[in-house]
Amino acid sequence: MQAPWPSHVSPPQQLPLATRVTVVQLAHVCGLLGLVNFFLLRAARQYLSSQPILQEKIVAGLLTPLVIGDVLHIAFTLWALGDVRWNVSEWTAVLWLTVLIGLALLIPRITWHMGIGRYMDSRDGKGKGKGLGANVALSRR
Amino acid sequence: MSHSRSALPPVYYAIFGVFEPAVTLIGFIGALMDPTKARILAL
Repeated sequence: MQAPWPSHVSPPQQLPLATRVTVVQLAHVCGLLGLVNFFLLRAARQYLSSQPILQEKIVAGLLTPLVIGDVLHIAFTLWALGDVRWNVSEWTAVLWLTVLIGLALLIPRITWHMGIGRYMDSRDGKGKGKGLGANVALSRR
Repeated sequence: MSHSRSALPPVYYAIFGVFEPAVTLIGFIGALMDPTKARILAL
């Protein structure tokens, strides 16, 4: 999406219907991901706050594919920029925004997976480092 | 170092549960309002 527009070609002022639909559908998928985040994480906080082991499993189920998506999103953006990708003085405001928002999500997602500033069962739970997870009966814990 | 008893402390919840949905929804509304401009801006 963030490929540089060739300097010798003006962007079209009117896009074909198929292109407009593709843009709207792509934006819709992005918005949908945001909604999934909002409802799933709110439910995890509301209903699993007393069960941090389960909470961690459910949140990890969401944040694991998203961290992969973060990496690929930035990688595709840089790939699309071609030879000028590191010529940051030529980056547009939208490109800067894309990269910075991408990093603003990627970095905390990595720190979450590292267990920084949160409960991490393998470190903080009773079965430290033994791989005991939510599927272990509570009576055994 | 002490750790939170929550797997989703407020800071992480604010980033992933509030900030991220807001950004994606604003992007979606922008593209819905003017897909042509959104396409050109994204390039």
